[in-house]
Amino acid sequence: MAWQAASSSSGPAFFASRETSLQTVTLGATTKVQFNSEVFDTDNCYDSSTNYRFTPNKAGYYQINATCVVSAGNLTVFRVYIYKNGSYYLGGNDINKNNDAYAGGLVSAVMYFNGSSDYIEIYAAPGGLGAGDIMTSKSTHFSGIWIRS
Amino acid sequence: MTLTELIIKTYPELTDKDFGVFGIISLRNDGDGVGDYIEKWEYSKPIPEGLTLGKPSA
Repeated sequence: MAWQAASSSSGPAFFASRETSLQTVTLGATTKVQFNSEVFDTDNCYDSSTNYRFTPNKAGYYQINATCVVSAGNLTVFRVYIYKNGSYYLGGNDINKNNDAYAGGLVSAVMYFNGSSDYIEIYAAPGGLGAGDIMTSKSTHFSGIWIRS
Repeated sequence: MTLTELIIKTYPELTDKDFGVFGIISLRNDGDGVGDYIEKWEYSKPIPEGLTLGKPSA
């Protein structure tokens, strides 16, 4: 009997957040969240400077999480979405704010990636009129980890 | 004035529920410098003059 090689039981993991500046967004527009700071990115699969997307290099199922905090003077509703390969894939919870100033949304899912071309991005959809800001902190974060093949 | 506000100015009957992935109008921004654009327009009235459907070239 032989032990299975350890390398077959591990895969990419990353954690990125919005740290260096507020991201201004238009209320009413579904906007890609730019998580511009990496806490860790074991296999360099997250792009934190250009496309802000996770493109895992190992096929399999991944646990994906994202949270986002937005500030606006007249925010009415807020949602956070996962986009896969450029298109809407699934959405998180609806936050009804009734013109409050802050809202935090989250989205989470187990997703399959082919390990080559599949990628995901996080979009925020704040409702209302005017502009808002995606806040900086690890409360605005995007993370994922390979679970199994 | 934001893209949402421009559309509301033309069609003040529209509400929050009309916008978004599940609404009849979807506005999108890919954070690539292009800015906000109309991704989907399923409203029964035409797109306001001066606006276009789809992502413009960067």
